[in-house]
Amino acid sequence: MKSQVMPDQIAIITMKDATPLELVLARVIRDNIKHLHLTLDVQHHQGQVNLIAGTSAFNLTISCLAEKIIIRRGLQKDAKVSLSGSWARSVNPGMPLKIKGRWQHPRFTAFVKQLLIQNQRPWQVAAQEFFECVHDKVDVDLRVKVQPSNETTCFEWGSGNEDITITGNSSSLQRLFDKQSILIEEVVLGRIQCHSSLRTTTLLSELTINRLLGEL
Amino acid sequence: MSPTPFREEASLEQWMDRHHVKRVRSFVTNLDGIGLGKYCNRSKFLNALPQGHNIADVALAADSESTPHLNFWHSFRHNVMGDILLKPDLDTLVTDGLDTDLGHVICEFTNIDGTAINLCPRTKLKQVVKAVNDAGFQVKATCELEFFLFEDSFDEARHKQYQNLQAIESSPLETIYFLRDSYRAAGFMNEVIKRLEWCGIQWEAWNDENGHGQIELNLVPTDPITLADNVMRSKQIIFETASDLGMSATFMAHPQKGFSNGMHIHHSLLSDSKPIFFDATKPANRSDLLLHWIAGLVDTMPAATSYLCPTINSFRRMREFAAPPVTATWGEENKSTGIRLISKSPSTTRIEHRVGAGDLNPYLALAAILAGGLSGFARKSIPPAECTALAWGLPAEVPRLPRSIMEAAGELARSQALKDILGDEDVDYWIKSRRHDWLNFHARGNDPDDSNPSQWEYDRYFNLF
Repeated sequence: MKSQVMPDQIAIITMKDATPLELVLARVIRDNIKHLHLTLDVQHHQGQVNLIAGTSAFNLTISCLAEKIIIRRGLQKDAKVSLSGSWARSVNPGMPLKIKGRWQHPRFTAFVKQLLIQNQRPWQVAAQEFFECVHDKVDVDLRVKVQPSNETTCFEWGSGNEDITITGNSSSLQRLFDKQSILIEEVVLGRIQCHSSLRTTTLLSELTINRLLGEL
Repeated sequence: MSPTPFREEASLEQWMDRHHVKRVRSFVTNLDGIGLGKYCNRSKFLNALPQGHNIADVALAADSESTPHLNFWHSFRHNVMGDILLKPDLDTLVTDGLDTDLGHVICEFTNIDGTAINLCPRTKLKQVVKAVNDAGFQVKATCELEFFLFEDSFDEARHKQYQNLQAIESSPLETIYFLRDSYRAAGFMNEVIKRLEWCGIQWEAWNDENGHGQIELNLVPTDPITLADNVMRSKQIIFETASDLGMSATFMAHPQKGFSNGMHIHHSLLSDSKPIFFDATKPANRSDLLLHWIAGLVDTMPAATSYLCPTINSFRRMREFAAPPVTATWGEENKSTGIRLISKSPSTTRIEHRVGAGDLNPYLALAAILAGGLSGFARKSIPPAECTALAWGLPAEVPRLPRSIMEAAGELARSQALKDILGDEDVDYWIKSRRHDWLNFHARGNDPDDSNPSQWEYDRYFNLF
C-alpha cells in the first residue's frame, strides 16, 4: 500500500469513476481539512481512497467509497468501523450522523462533523473548485473576489497580480461555477458582472465552456 | 531621398496620378474567408505606408456576425480591445474599371509595430509557401469556383427567407454543361469577366453546373498567394456584379436541396520551372515526390477537412453519391475520391483536391493542403493503395471523412503533422472558432442533420460567401 502526504493544493481525491455526489463530498472534506489545518496521509487501496489522520486525537481512517463513506478509528484497514454514512447524509447538515455506540464520544462526533459537514455555501465550494481548475489549466495568476449580490459572504481566492471581481446573485454564481453556464453569456445577459482584463474574461469563459461540454 | 519607382513610374504617387486613383479600398480576408477593409482617401493611404492603416484587432478575432471571440484567446490580441494594422501588398494594387477614381489593394493583418500576425490567413499561406519553396519546390495552383445565381436581388432573397428563389437557368432539371442554361447566365458572366480582367485576374472557362442556377468558373493556374487573392477578388466581383444587376449569387456550400457548391483545388509542383510530379521512368509516370505528396495529403485529409469545410453548412454537402468525396482516398482520374490524380503528361500532371466546399477560406485551405503534402514529403510517406473503384457506397467499415464541424475540428486537434507546419496556437485558435460556430448554431435550436439549411445558416452565409 503506497502512502503519500496530502499536499496543500491536492486535487479532489476520488476514484476515476466517482459520482457527482462523491466529488462534492471529497471537495467538502478537502476544504475542511484545509480549514482544520489537518495533515492527512492518502492511501489508495483496493478501489478506495483512505485519508489517514494520524495527527488528530482519534487516529482516523476515512474511506471514500462509491456509495458511502466509512470512518474507522484506528489505522489498520480492518479496524472496527466507527461510522458509516451515505454521501447524502454527509453533505446535508440537517441530517444527523449515526455513530456506533461506544464511539459516541462528544469530541469524536464533533471532529467527524467538522470534517464532513459542508461549512461553505454551495457556490463557494463550486467557486473553489473552479478556480483551482483555472490554476491548473490557464496561464493567469489571479487574485479573485466573488461577491454575491444577495449574500454578505464573499469568496476570495489566490494572491496573484491580476485582480478579478465577479458579482451576481448566488444562484447565478452557483450555475456558473458548477458547469451549467458560460461566463461571457452570463455577462452579456447581465446576470453576472466580471471585472477583469479582456484576456482573463476570455480565458475564463473558455474554461466554463470546456467544463460545460464535459471536456474538463 | 528619391522616391521608389513603382511599375515603370518614378513613384507610387506618379502611378496613382496617371491612373487617376484618388481613393484606395483595402481588402483583407478574415478567418472565415470574408473580405474586410476600408475605403481610404489617397493621402491617408499614402501617409500610412508602408505599415498600412489601423483596424480594430477584433476584425481578426470575430465570427461571421462580427461578434468578437470572447470565449477564447490568441496572443496577438490586446488585453483590452485595440488596433492592429492592415499592411498593403502594393504588388496587388489595381484600378477599378467602373469607379475610375478607385484603387484596390490586398492587405495582411499585422501587429501595430508592423510585425506579422501568424493567425492572418494570407500571412499563414505565405509561411507555408515559403516552407515549400525552402524544400526546393514552387507551387502552381488553381481553383474551380462554383456558385449559385438567382434572378432575385439580395434584398428580395432575404425577404423570401432564401426560399423558392428563381435560379438562372432554362431547364428545370439539375443539368450540367447545357448551353441553353449557360446562355441565360451569359449576360451576367460577361460583366463578371470584364471586371475580372480589369483586376488582372485571368480565367480559363465557365460553364453551367449541375445545381439549379449553378455556375462554375475556372481560373488560370498561378502561384498560391496570387490564386487566393484572385479567388477572394473574384467572389467580391461576383457579389458586386449581382448587386449591380439586381440579382443574387452565393458561394454558400449548400443553400438548397440537390447539388452543392464545392471549390476543388488543383496544384502541381515545379522545380526550376519544370513539373516534377511526372517521371516517365517510374510506374504510371508517378514520381517518388508525387507519391510522398499524395501520402501526406491522404493522411492529413480528415484533419484538413476542418479548413476545407469550415462551416456547419459545408457538411450538408458531404453525402454519398452527391459529388463530394466522403473518404480519404485517391485515384487516377477518379472524381469520387478525395484526391483525383491527373498524370498523363508532364505539363498537365497535377493533383485535384476535391474535399473543399464553396465557403472555404482560400488562403487557409491552400495552406492546409500544402502543409499536408509537405508533411508526406518530409516523412517520405507511402500512400495507401490507389482506389480504382467508385469511392461512394463503400462498406461501413471504410473510414469516412468527418461529417460535422466538430468531428473535423477533433481530427485537426489530433493532427500533429498539420500543427507542426501551421502552428499550434493558430490551429488551436481555428479549432476554437469552429466550436464557437457550433455552439452558436446549437444554442438557437438548429439541427445539423435536417435536410434543409436553417435560417441561421442563410442569414450568416448567403450574402457573405
